Amino acid sequence: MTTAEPLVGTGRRRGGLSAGSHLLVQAGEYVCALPLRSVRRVLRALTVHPLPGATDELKGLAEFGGEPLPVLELARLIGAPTGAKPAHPVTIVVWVGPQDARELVGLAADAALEVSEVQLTSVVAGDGGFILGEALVDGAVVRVVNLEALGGEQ
Amino acid sequence: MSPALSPVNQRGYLLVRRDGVLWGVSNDAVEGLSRDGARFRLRVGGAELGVDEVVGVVPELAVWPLAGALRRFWPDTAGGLAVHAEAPLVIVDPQRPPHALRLAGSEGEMSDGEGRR
Amino acid sequence: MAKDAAESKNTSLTGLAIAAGVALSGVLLLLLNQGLNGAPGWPYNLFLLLAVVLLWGYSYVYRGQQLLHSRVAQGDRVNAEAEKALVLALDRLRAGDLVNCAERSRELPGRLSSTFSHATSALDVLAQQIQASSVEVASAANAVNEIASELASGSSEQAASVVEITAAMEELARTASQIAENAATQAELAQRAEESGNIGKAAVEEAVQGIEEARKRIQGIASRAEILGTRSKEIYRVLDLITDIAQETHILSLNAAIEAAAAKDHGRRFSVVAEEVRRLAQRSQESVDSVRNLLDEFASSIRATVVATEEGSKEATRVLERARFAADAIEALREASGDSARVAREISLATQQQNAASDEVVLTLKEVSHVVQRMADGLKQFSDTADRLNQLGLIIQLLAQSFHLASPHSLKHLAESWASDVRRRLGNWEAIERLLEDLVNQQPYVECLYFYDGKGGQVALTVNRQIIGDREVPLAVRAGEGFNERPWYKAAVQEKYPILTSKFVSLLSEQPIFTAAAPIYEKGELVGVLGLDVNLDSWSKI
Repeated sequence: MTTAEPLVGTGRRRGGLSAGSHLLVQAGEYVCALPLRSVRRVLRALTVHPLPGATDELKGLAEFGGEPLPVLELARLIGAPTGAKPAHPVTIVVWVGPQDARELVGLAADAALEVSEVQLTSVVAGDGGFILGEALVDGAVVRVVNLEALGGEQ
Repeated sequence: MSPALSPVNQRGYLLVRRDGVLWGVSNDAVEGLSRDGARFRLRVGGAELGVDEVVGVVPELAVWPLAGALRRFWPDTAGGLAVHAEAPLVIVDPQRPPHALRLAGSEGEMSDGEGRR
Repeated sequence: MAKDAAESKNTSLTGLAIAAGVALSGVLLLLLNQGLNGAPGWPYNLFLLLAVVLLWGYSYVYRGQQLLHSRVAQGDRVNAEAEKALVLALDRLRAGDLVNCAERSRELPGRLSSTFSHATSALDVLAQQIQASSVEVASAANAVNEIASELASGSSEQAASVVEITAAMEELARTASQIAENAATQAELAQRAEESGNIGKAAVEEAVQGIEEARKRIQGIASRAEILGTRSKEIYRVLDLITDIAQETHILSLNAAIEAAAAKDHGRRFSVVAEEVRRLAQRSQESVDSVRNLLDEFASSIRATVVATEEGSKEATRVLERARFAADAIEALREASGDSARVAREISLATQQQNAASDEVVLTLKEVSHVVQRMADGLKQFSDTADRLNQLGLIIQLLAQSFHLASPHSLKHLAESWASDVRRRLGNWEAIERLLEDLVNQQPYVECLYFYDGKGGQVALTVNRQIIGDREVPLAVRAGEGFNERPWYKAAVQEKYPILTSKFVSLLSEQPIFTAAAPIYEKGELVGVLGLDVNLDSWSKI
């Protein structure tokens, strides 16, 4: 049957959504925070068609709203250790890249947890990669993903 | 729909499949199509391409340019992306046919270091 | 005869005296009577006449007697000579020497000679027949003795065999008795086994029925468990559906929150609703998880129950098979026990019969043994009797040999004949020795042949090696020491005719022998005695 879903934190809201509102997702053994403003949609895991010659981070192509959608493996992007097999994997459709050149990309995650406040002032500087930094949410460590760094070619 | 991405409607595509991936080739770009045993040989832009299956021909497709994030993690050449029958497909650039479709031993393997992270 | 003549003469004289006396008395009486009375004279005349007559008659008779006496005397002389000859002949006859008896009888007068000759001839024939018959009797007695000995020996062996057989049969009877006892015990055990088999069969049948019932109930439980398992699967599907719904609701709430965030202030109340919806989804998921856990436990129990029932059913099936197999085996065993019991009873009966028969056989064998023993005893007696008969035959033979007959069977005649041969070679000692060597080989029963010169003490002796083998002849025997004191020598010299000794044990062969000896006379003078030792065993076989 199904395994128990690890829920991190209780997702307490503090006086409604703010600039610190993030969508907490499970990627491997990490809990990642995606800025809510960049999140387009949360979906059940989409059917992905792998592309030959792609890197490990690129799962493949999917279809979203009649448009082709590249889907990236969030756990590989942030280097998260592999966790248990997810019971309800999801695909988070997010905007990546700079504001003036945003693209829709799908991020494959193990589970969508909750919307929670992540005080930006508590964010610790990350490694300069796809992780913006780490923050504490209800006593648990979450890794804030740098979605702007995902877009376009470096 | 992303404002940065807009579909380009083009006409007449040959849909083929190789290794489970659906590809679309502009009818105009197809220089030759022949059987190669159980497979098919396709000549596009002077390059010999091999496919497992010829799915069919569609009159038109909405083509989106390749997303930057895609190009970042997939170094092969393509003319764009499309969707047909709720399935995504890659549009073949007739000027630069993808290495993934080239026949073994034909010119051009995907060079190392292109976009691999 | 002389005595009779003397007596006759005396009687005549006496008669004459008496007649003279009577006559004289008569005369005196006459004179007396006339003188006395003048009585009538006729008695006296008669008496006188009578006396005269007597006197005349007696004188006549006396003269006759005298004549007779002279004739009698003559006859007496003839009779004396005949008597002498008769005495000699009878003496030879007494000695059994019918040969010399016949010669002596020729000296008898006239008819006596012929009559005596006829009598001796008839006696000779009879004696020869007796001799021949005695030989046959001795031979037959010997054969009977041998047969009796063999029979006695065989009977003893038979008696011993019967004793052995009786002992073996007694042992067999004991064994049969033990077998009978064992068979009876076996029959009883088989009977118990059969009864136990019946009980076992009934018990196994009950057990099989019980196991069958249990198996059916287990199958019923398994069916109901399977139904519960199916129901739980349906519940799982419902839970999965609820989980999907909860998940969808959760995602919906998240998307609502996202849209609310995009709507900024306008979406604040919507975000609250989205949050509630998310919590609802979360509680639903938690409830589902709780129910799933309970259902998991229930399903686990159901599975365990199903597995247990399946195992139980399989085990019940196996036990049932084993029980049926055991029932079949018990049935086979019961049948075998029944057959075994029946066979054991038959064996017991047969062994009892055999035991009784063995006892009867033993009794019969004992009776046979007694009979055989009595037979053996009888045969022993018969053998003893045959032995005595053999001895009697030998005695008769020896008695028959007491007659000197002109017969090759007569040993005395043989000795006399050989003595004549020796007489003709007297003076030539070497010739006598050669003669003896030739003669000893003529009769296989002659153990030793010897001639003893009584005067000079020389001995010519030869032995029959076929009888005495390689035994050495003692030097004293060869030298003839003491021969003149031996019974055979003294008897032959005394009788002056061939003799036979009684039997004695030979120094040479250590077997019973007797000696036939014949004196040799030359010109009426004894020159020696020829002796031949007859081996009884060899002689009786002849």
